[in-house]
Order: sequence, then structure tokens, then C-alpha cells
Amino acid sequence: MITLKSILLISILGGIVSVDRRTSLRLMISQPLFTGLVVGLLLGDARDGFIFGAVYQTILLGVVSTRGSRLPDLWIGGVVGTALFVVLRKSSGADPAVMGLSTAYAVFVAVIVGVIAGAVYRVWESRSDFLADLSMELIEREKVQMVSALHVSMIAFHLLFGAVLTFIFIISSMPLNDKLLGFSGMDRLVSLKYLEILIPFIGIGFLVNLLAGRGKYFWFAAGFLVTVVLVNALG
Amino acid sequence: MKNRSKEDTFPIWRLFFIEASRNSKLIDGIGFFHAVMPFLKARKNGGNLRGVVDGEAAVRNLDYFNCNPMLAPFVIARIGTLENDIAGRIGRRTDKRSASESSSKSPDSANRSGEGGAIEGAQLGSDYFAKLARYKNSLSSSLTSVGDYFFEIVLVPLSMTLGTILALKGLYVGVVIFLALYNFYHFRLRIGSFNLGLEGSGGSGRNVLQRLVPEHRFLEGLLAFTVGVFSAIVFVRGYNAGRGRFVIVGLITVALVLLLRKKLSFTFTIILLFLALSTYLVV
Repeated sequence: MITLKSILLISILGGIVSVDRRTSLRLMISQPLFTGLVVGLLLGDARDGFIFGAVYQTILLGVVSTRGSRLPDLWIGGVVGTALFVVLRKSSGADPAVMGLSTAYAVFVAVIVGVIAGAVYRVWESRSDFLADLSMELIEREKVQMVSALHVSMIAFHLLFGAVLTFIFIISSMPLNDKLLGFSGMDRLVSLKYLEILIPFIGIGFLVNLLAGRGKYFWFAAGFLVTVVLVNALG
Repeated sequence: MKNRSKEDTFPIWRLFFIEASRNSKLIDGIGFFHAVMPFLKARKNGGNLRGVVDGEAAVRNLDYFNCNPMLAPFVIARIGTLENDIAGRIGRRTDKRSASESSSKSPDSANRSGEGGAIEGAQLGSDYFAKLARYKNSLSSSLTSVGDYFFEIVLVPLSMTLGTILALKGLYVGVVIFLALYNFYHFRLRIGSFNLGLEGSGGSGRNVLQRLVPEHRFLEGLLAFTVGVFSAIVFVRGYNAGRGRFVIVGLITVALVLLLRKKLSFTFTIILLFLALSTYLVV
């Protein structure tokens, strides 16, 4: 069971993720590799959080946003997904079916949350022209400091935006988490544990797509072959 | 040793939140204004202004701005220092003309020539500042293209892949290496580009990147090598878990990503492949 205090702390982390992504802070503390570990620590199971963070991170390896391209909030989704993953695993009683299902469920929720959060943010973005109008009006009235204050207040807005969304998503997903425990004992779901092995292939696809046309195939092949040889040699 | 006054110290934190008030009208114009403000303030305190009032400087700098946030500090520093230089030049020129005319004419005509100096200064200023606005836009585009290339295509995937390789092996140090490698270059570019801009170094975006990260070509090669290592590890894991079956599924998945990415967004590609893989495992 997850406590309200834990949910609040994870929500603050969601807010920090939002600030990192949306304000150009970009310390990369929004990446699932980091947030997974932190969420795990907050929920008392750093190992599970870290494992899910790493698996989810593999999907996002080649997901890049160049200027103008819009991406969903997959990073806030990562925070919510990790929380659900850790809680479900803790309450599963190590049932193989639920353990297998947990990765599929958490990744799916993370992506869907990312899509919804991205859509909500776009609604805000489409109405954010008032910021430009307001700041121009303030400048004309020579209230320069107010423009500065308006800008700084937006950092707080992003923090609140991410925190509230994370809080809502975790709270609303918890009943589903409980229902999933009803799948315990279903042998067919056990094989879903291999998702942890197969999901990184999606990441390879994105990374290769990113490298395509850059003429670095030699180095890619070198890295691949050296690793295969080393793994075989070292057993 | 000379103590640095408060005015000499630029509040560096302003460079880190440029996109906070992003909107479709000015894009990051408000963020740029917030970051360049200390320069305008310094100029106000320094005086030496004719024909251009501080309010005009504020209006001029609250404009459209769209630049890669990591290299935007270069633009901020360049525009800030150039604003000061231009204002200083206009001030000196206006003073010189007023002084020479007032020494040769009556007090009344000297008064009028002072006004003339101010008008000339304003015209000169508007010419210079129009050029400065064009410079700002072209510099921003040039920096954006190299900034996007280096950060989004090279640095982020490189540091994340390195960190993930270690994390998949269960090593927590992966997180530390990922954050350390990324932020080493991140801070080097953010702070370094700002200092470069203050020094008055000109040149295109590519020159700025070359001066700050001369090894960027090497890093691109390292990324390709690291992706090769990551791919090998994932394929070996797949082989160990499901023998040839998972290797074939993996190859199909990679091929499908490459095909689907030509038509679909990241999100739809992820959802489709994720559902396909889950269905494959259950059925």
C-alpha cells in the first residue's frame, strides 16, 4: 500500500521533472534512469524502481526533440509508471503472473500518461500567448521588473503543473493496480516477464534511426563485434 | 586584489530557465529579455546615454527569440555587450558634436545643436539596433542548428546509452556516469558560450561549438560505438533468454521501428510495438 506522504513526495518529483523538461533547465534529472531510482527509494524498494527506470529508459534512448518537434510528456509518465510498478510488485506477494504483468502494465500506463500530460500541456501552450501580450503591456508601462517576475513565476507554474498531474495520475491509477492483483495465478501472463528483454529492441531501433545517414556504421559495427567477442570470451 | 562589485557579477541562473515562459507569439522572447536585463541595467547605471532611453532598450529586447537553450547564452552575452557598446558610441558621438558646436556658436544655437545631436544619436541608434536585431536572429538560427545536433543527436543519446548499459547490468553507477557525462558538457557549453559571448568572439554557430567542444566529432563516433555495444548486449540477453526466437523477434522489432518512424510519431511507434511484443509473449 502506498502512503499519502509517498504520493506527495513522488508528485514533487513529477513537478521537478516538469521544470527540468519545460524550462530549459535540462539537468536530465527527468530521465527515467534517475527518477526510477528516486521513486524506488521513496517507496522503499530502490532495486525495483531502478530496474523499471532502466527498462523504460531503453525505449526513450533515441527519442529526441529538436526545435519545433512535439513530444508527449513521457518523462512524467515514467515517474507514474515506476510508482505503479514498485507498488504492484510489493503487493503481489511475488506471484509470477503479477510480476510478469507489472512491466507491461507500468510501461503502458507510463506512455498513456505521457500522451495525456502532453495533450494537457498543449492546451496550456495554445493559450499562452497572453504571456507575450501581458509582458508587452508591462514594458510599455515601464514595469520592467514585473516582466521579470512574470517569467520567474512560470518556473513555479511548471513545478505545480507536473506535481498536480503526477498526483492525479497516481491516485486515479491505484484502483486499477488493486484489480491487477486478481490476475495472480494466471500462467499465461508469466511470459510477460520477457518484456524486460524485448523492450530494449525498440530503443535499438530508435538509436539506429538516429544514426542513419551519419556515416558512422563502422563504429557501430566495431562496438557490436567487440562486445559479442568479449561476451563470448568472458563467458 | 580588486573586489568585484555586485554589478559586475552576472546572475548565471537566469541562463537556465530561458524557456519557462515559452509562448507561440515570442517563443522564448520573455526568457531572453529576463536574461539580458542585467546588461540593460548596467548600462542605465553607467549613464552615457543620448537619444536612446532605457524604456526603448526594454521594448527592443522583448522580441521574438528562438534558439537552442544550451547555446542561447552566447546570443545573450553578445547582444547585451553590443547594446552597451552601441549606446556608448552614440553617447560619445552626440557629446562630441554638441561640444564642438557649442564652442563655436551662441548659447541659444548651442542648445539647438544639443537637440540636433540627440536626434542624430537616435537615428544612428535605430540603424545600429536594426542591424543588431538581424544579427541576433541569424546568430540564433545558426546556434540552434549546431546546438540541436550536438545535444539532441550526440550528447543526450550518448550519455543515456552509456548509463543504460550499466543500469541493465544492475549497476547503480550508471546513473552517476550518465548525469556526470551529460552535465560536464552541458555546463561547459552553457557557461562557456556565455563567456565566449562576453569576450566578443564572433563567428558562426559551428565556430562556437568547435571552440567549446573541439572533440564533438569524436563524441559522434563514440556514440555510434556505444550504440553498437548496447545493441550487442541486448541481442546477447535476448539470445540467452529465448535463443534464436528472441533474436529474430528483436531483428523484426528494429526493422519495424525503422519502417514505422518514416510514417508515425515516436508515441504511436512505441505503443504499436509495445502492444505487438506483449501480444506475442502472451499468445
